[in-house]
Amino acid sequence: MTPARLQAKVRVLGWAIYFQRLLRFGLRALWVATATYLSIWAVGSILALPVSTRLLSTAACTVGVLLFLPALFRVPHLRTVAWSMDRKLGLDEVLSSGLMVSAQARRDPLAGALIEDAHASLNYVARRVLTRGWYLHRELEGCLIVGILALAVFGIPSVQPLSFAAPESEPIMPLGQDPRAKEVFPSGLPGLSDPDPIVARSSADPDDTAQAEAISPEQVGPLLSALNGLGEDLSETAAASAVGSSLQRGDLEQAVKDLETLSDIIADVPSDARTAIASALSSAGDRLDPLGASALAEAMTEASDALASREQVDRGPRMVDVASELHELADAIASTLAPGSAGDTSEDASEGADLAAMGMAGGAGVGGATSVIRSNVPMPRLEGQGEAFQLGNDGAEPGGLVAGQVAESPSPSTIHGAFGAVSAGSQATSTTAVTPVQYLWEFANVVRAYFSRK
Amino acid sequence: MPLLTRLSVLLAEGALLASAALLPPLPDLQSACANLSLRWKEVGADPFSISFTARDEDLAEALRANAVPILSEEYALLSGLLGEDPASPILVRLYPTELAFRCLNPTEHLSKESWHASVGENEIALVTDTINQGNDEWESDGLNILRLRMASLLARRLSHGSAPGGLTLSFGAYTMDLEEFVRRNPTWDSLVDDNVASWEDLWSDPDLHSQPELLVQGMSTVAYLVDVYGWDTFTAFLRSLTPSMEFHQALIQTYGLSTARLQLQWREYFPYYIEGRWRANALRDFDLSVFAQLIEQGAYEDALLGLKQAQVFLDRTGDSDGLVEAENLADRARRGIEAASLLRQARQALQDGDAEAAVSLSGRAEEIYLALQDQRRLAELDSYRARAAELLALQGELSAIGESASAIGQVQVNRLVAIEARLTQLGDSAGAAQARDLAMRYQQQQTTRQARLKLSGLVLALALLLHRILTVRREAPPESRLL
Repeated sequence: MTPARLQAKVRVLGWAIYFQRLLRFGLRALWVATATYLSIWAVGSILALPVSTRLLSTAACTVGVLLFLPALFRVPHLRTVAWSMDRKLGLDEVLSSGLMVSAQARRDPLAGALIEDAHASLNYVARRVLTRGWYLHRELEGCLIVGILALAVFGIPSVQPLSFAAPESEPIMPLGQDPRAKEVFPSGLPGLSDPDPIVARSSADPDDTAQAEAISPEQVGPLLSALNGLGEDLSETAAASAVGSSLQRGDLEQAVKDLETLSDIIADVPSDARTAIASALSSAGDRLDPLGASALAEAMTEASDALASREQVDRGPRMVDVASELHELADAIASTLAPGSAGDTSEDASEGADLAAMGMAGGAGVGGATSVIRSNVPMPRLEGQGEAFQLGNDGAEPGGLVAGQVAESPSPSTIHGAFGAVSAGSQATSTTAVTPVQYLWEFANVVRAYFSRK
Repeated sequence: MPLLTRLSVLLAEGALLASAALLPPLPDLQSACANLSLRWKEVGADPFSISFTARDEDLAEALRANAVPILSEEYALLSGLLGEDPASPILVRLYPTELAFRCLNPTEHLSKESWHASVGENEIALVTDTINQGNDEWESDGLNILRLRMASLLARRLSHGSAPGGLTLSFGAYTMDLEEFVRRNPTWDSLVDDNVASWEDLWSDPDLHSQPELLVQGMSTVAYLVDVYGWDTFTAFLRSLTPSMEFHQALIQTYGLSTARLQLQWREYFPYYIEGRWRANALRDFDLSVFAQLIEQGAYEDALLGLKQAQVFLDRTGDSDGLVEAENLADRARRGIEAASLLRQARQALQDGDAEAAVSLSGRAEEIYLALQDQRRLAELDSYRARAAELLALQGELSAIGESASAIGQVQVNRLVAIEARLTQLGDSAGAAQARDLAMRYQQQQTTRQARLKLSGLVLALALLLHRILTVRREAPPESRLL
């Protein structure tokens, strides 16, 4: 055994011990770092602190590195290793002596014996270091504990709470309908255009609709007034008195019907009456034209011309045109007065003849009497609305109003009636709003609303 | 002819003669009638009989042999359709001269240059000297004239004599065989004119037949009412005419429309009639094409409704070909209605969550629609079926997941959540609840399992920690402390 070889062997053994220690400290640094990570995470979770993953990682790495670095820099020196082994393994400085002698390069027998002895001890030491020098089970145990904890915390994915969305139900496609005969053949027969002037105009002519919708609330009053004037003129003719009174009442729906009836009998109307009707229509047309009812005005003018002419053929249809236009105007007025609603609509009784007529044996037609949409035009309030007025009470009827004026009885009196005692016969003029004091029937509120100032 | 009927005819004749005697005729007519002496003979069988004088025997025999069989048949049909007694007699009286007619019927109207008229409610009058002089109209359209008069008599009866003359003639003209009439009238196509007469003028004109263009307009008014509103409505209109209800009111009462409005509609119809709609005569060529087109357009219910009534009418007219065709059309209409019903049921089943039934019903409806070559509602049908199929697929998947409960994982739970959402969207609340229950149950299992795992790990870690604590005092071997 040469001295150089002894030194090399000790050096190798020293590096082996260094590696064992490095491994041990590495494992320790690992589990301590993991434990640090878990501890900080646990504290953060318990205290609900905002601990970021980066902070956790930094803290864990710092602890790990601090633990590991000392082991890394503790490099083994030849003599230190030999002395440590001599002392801790009870070798009685055999290795130290051998190394010293080998360093002195002595060639005497004693030196040779020391070197041989050191060499022999070195083999024994190497076996012990390589078998028992690892001592890893404590660190592995630590790693296992923190590993299990880390796995429990992060390794097993927590069950996410189920969230059931509440989507809106997808509607089933609406049930379609087979077309009706009237939709397929509006005129009642294939190949024949819809002959109903009113239905055809209201459904197919967008211009008329636009015109009808164009009536503003301010136009309604003058229009009704003009129609009222026409009613007055027509009332003077016996044949057209029904139309006239309907127009005067503001019942345009009835006026349309009366006009249609008039159109049926217009051929039988005496010529002087026809002239009067023509004149009334012509005047009304002139009045209505600037008020925004140009279609009605035009129909009236044409009807007037037809009535004045000798041709009888056109008279009835022209009157029907006037009725149709009046119907349109009534619709427009109704929609203007009731914004946001389509107005009260009702189907004419002629609808009843619809498919029943089609079903009648003998005719292959599918048409029926046409439906006509009517709209009720609200009645205007009585004149004098909001003004002071006097009420008379002759005492014959139980009074429901106070502060009335006696028409005939000269002296005031108290009347006892079903609604209680009421003073009657006073000549004093009431200057305050008259309030119904007691109406026991179901329309009391309606009456009260009528008599209240707005 | 039964004795009673013959007696009634004779009584009627007697009454006519009496009225002629009672009413003071015009002075010149009175003197002419005084010298008139007629000896009547009668041939024919119920209900038609022909009364004639000796000089018209040949014409009477010709009528009896050629016209009466046809007219009798048509009379029976028409009176049946009008609800009149087909046994009521009709007398065709052949007046040798216009003077004879005027003497015997001083109150009846015979227009100038005319040779036929209706007398009362039972008699058709023909003036034979005009016929024998070679009347073109008789030669070409004699049978149609007899039809016209016969039908106008029936219209008179139906309205108890209240129908205006022009209206009865218009109705009579409607019953004519127009094929020959149109063929012989070269100016037919030029009859379309903007200046058509009013119904008032047409229906109140007792000489309507003397002006062909007016007669055509008149017959087209009847054709319009029958064509568009049906035969029964028209007969109801005729029946509603009374002395106190003239036709304006009767039209409003029956049709719900004023004369003027109906007239406006008719004005649209008239050119259409001239162009060829005249062929759709309810009595001669009942037009079933309207129903065919309705079926083609998918208006099955209305088509069937109309066809049922049409079948009754065709049965009354004895039109067997029409009946067969109507039955075929009705069958198609019924199938269309059945398909619509199946479609409705499919939707209902879908609403009730019975997807299997919905698929089945949709399939049956589709078969019918395809057989009818009706594509209109296939999109709707496909929508129902697709929805039902998706519902079935989801229910199947749900069932499969439920059966493999042991192999469930997070993936399946996620899928269950998706299924639950979709089933909710599709309206299957029971299925959605089942999917929710399954998902909740499986999640509960997973939670328990993980809790157990974590607990085990914790216990292990604690055990190791304890071991570590217990062994902390044990010294490390010297070999591990060499550096």
